Formats: sequence, structure tokens, C-alpha cells
Amino acid sequence: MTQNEIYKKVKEHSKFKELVKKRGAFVKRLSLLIFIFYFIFILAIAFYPKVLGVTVGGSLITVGIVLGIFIIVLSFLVVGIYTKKANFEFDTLVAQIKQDIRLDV
Amino acid sequence: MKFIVFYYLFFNTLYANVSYFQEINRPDVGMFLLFVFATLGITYWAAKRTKTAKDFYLSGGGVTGLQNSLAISGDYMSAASFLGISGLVYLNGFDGLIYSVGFIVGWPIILLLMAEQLRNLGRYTFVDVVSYRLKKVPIRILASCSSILIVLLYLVAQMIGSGKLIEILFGIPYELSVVIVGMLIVILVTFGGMLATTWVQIVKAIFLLSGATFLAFMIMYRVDFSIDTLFERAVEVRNSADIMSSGNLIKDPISAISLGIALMFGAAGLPHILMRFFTVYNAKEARKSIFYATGFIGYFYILTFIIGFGAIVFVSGNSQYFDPSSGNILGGPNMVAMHLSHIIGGDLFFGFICAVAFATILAVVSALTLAGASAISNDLYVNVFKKGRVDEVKERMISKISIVILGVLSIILGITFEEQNIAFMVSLAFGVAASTNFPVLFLSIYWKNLTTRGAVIGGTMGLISVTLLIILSPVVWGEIINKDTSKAIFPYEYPALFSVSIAFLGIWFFSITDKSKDAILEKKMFEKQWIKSQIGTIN
Repeated sequence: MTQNEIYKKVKEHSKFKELVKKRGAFVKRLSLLIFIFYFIFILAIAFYPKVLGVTVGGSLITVGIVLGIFIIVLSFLVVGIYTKKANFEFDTLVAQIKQDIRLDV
Repeated sequence: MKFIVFYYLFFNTLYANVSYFQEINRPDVGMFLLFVFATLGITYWAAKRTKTAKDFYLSGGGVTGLQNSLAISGDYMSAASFLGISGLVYLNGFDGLIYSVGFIVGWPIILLLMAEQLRNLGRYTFVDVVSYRLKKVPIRILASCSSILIVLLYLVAQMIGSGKLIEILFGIPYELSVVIVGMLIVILVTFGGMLATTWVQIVKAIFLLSGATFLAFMIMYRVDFSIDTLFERAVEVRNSADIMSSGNLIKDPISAISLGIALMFGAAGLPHILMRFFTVYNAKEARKSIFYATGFIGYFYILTFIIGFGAIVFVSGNSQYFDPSSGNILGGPNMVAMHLSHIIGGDLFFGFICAVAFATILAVVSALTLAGASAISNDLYVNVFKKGRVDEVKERMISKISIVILGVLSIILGITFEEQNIAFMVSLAFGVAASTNFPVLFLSIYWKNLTTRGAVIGGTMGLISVTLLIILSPVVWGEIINKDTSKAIFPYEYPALFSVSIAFLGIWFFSITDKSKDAILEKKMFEKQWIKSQIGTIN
């Protein structure tokens, strides 16, 4: 089988379509989450710095500090969620596709 | 468990050595020297195991996920993170946190949008990925030029940090300190290679994390573990609640957005970070290493925020750490974490933190110099000038010469940029990465219509504009050349908003107008590349 034929087979493989669809949607959702919070943070610094200075719950802790620390924690969680999903689900799909194609060869 | 034993042994040997050094009554210096020699010892040990060019650049590809995550954290937790951010928080309060947040969000972006594709398409560097369907030679020239500039800016930041550190520890002039550090680095990198820097990074990451944890813990202990008390006392010291909100460091919307863009996308264009993706042999371990690394780095950034506020409370007004004639803080604001460690833990802890910070710098600088040297010797010399035909001995010689040149350049620039904040210098390196490597790499993965012409012209436009904007900025044109920030031709300190837009627009325009035969072929190859980027090679 030539390279081109292999790629064609992969592309038409039902599990490949499943992988692309699932991983694509998953990545889109997670990156959107990060983008939204980060851009809120940056745009607030740019246009509404006073809002970030509002204190929370009668202490000196401000909205900005809470949001900043939240984004740091969120980044860690997002990376963890993706790693888990990729290592257990996506990699299995990839291995199955590869095995099917190899059997075909 | 191993870690605790290691720690215990370290402090025991340390103690023995310290008593030896008490003859000259400088336990801090003893502590410092011991650690630096330990670092060099590790390098020597690793150097003996470096055999081939692959070992030299990629530590042989056999690093585990946890080791790699510590090495990545080590690369990332540079002097900029530890000294720079704590200095920025000390000066500006909340605004220092912007750097931490920006530095960390790069990681989910890298993992979600680039990591799979990088590993599936590339072998050694990100250039492999871009040149999967584009022409190798022009792409390599562009990537090498931007990588060299990134590495230089990063190096300068580390030089400032280490120069100041040596200055306050030994009391020798800054210029001399920078020269000494520069020479040390050249020696370290020429003999060690990537395996050595990987090990130095791992060891140093552990020490830096534990040192910073102790520092933050002691600060919290002194304020009865109430974060509110810490903030209250900081506000009292400054006599204003300004430090609790934005506006001290970032004064206008353009700067905020520009810095935000540079930090988020810059990480995905840093050659020495992307290089680490190829040092782990399987994808699962690579992902895990990013996961752990993000955890270590995020945790560390939260600590630096506490350390910065701790410095406001405990270092401010402590005359011991200020120059009596000028009233300035000794060593500049980049050194507040050092002074704080002296207040918290006395001479011994100060010596330890100095050593950790110095090892941090040595390690980061080694990795950077190596990435820069590989850009010159492997990418430019071997693949561009010699068209891939050169023997390994010659290649390593060229690489060693490049290391010396980079060392000398960073000494000169380190002296020029003496007064700048370290984290700011690194943000410029991120700006360059975001304006060149990132758009080219990102579009090569996701945009079918990208052509060699578009990538090279657009990327060059990004590189030239970011370089010019840095030179014309208030810092370089104003402060350094004309000694007056108002003389700057470009009014903003952060160039990324402009240069990143120029790069993307340039790449887009010169790709869609490219009607050459090669362009048609390159577009046709996209589908194959896309399939391979999803699942990797089959055989």
C-alpha cells in the first residue's frame, strides 16, 4: 500500500472520524474556557482597572486577586482534564486505528 | 521519601561545610559556593555520559514524565519568575500578578492546541513541523533568527539577575559579576550539553520549590496565617490601597492587551520550551509532564505573589537593605526576594536562597544558550550553509563557538540593561516568540492556505517589527540611549499587539496572493499533514 492509500484509509476509518470529532469538540470547549477567563482578566485590566480593585467579603482581597488566582488554578485543572482524557480515551482510539490499518497492510 | 533523604543529606553536608567556612565568618558564602559546586559536579557527571549529538541536544530522548516536568518547570521558573515577579509585586502589588497569570495560561494553550501536532509531526524541533510541507531552508533561517533573538533577550534577563545577586552577596561590582557569570555559563554549557542542563534543572526545580515554600510559609507564619493581615500590613506600609488593584505597572489599555497577548502566545513559540516536547519518548508521558509542570509552576507563582507582598511588609523600611546615601534598595527591586530570605532565615537561609537563585539562572541560561547554539550550528550552519552535509565533530565545534559568542553578547547586553526588571525583559522575549515562531507554527498546523512565501515574508515582518518596536520603545530609545523615557519614538513598552498583528496579516496576505506552483503543492499537502498530525506515523 502506498503512503497515499494509507492516508486515504485512515481518513475514511470510522474511528478516525470519531477521534477527530470527539477530540476537536473537547479541545474547543476547554480552550474557550481558558480564553474567556483570560480575556476578561486582561480586558478588565485594560478598561476597568477599578473593578478589579473592588474588595471581596469585607477583607482586603480584591476581585482582581481572586480572578488571577482562579485562572492559575483553572489552567492546571484544564491541563489535567485534557491529559486524563487523551491518555485514556484518545490514545486508545489512535492505537485502534493504527492497528486496523496495519492489519489491512 | 527519596526526596526527604536527599534533602536531609544535603543539609547535613551543608552544615559540615558551613562550619569550615565560618573561619572567614561568611556562612552565606559557604552555603552558596557549596551549592554552585554541587551543580557543576552534576554537570560533570552528566557530561561524561554525553556521547552523540543527539545526547548533547536532546538528552538521548529517555527522560521520564516526572523528570521532564521538573525540567520544564526548571526552564520556566527562571530568574524572571522568582526574582522578577516578586520584584514587580514588591513595587506594584497586584499588577505583578498579571505576569504570573500570563505566564501560566500559555500552558493549556500549548497542550490543547499544539502538543499533539508537535509530537505527531516533529522529531527534534518545531521547525520539523513547519517544514513538513513548507520549504526547509527559508523556514529554518527565519526560525533560527527569531530563536537567537529570543534566547538573547532571555539571557540578558538572567544575566541581570545573576549579576545583581553576585554583587550583593560578594560585594563586587555589577560589571565584574556579569563577566564572571558569563564565563561560568560558557564552561558549563560547552562541557555539559542537554543532559547536564536537564539534570541541573531537575535538581534546581526541587530546591527552588522547597526554598520558596519555606519563604512563603515563614511570611504567613509571621502574619498568623492570615492573608488579610498580610495585605493589611502591606497597605499600611505603603500608606495606600493602590497596590491591591491594577494601574501601577500597566497604565493604559494598549499596554495591557499587548502584554496579555505576548505572554499567552509567547510560551508556544519559545524554542527551548518546545524542545522539551521531544525529550520524552511517548505521548502519554509528554502530556503528563505538562500536567505536573503546570501544577509546579502555578503553585510557584502563587508563592511569588505572597513573597512579593511579604517583601513590602518586611523589607520596606529596613535600613539594612537600603543604600544610605541614595535611599535605593540594595541590588535594585529584583533583589527583594533575596533580602526577604535574609530577614526570614538569617545568613544561612540567605546563602541557600542565593545559591538556589544562582543555580536557577545557571540552569536556565545553559538551556537557553544550548537552544541558541543549536539554532546557529544545527539549523543555520549544517542545514542552511552546508545543506545537511557536515560531520558531527565539525558541528559540535561550531556549536561551541556559538556558545562563546552568545556568552559575550549576553555579558555586554546584561551590562546595558542593568536597571531593567527581569520579568519585563523576559516579557520582551515572549513578545518576539509571539510575533514570529508562534504565528508561523500555529498557522502551519491549522491553516491550509499557508505557503512558504507567506510564512517567510509574514514571519520576517513580525520579527523586524518587534525588533524595531523594542529598540524605539521608552526603555531602549528613551531610558538607555537618550536617558529620558519621553524621547521614545514608539510610546509603548510592550510591542506584541502591533507586531503579532503585523505577522498574522503579513502571513495571510502573502499566502493567499501566492499563486506559484510550489504554493499549490503546499496547499495540497495539507490534508496529509492534517491526518498525520492527528495520529502520528503508521508502521
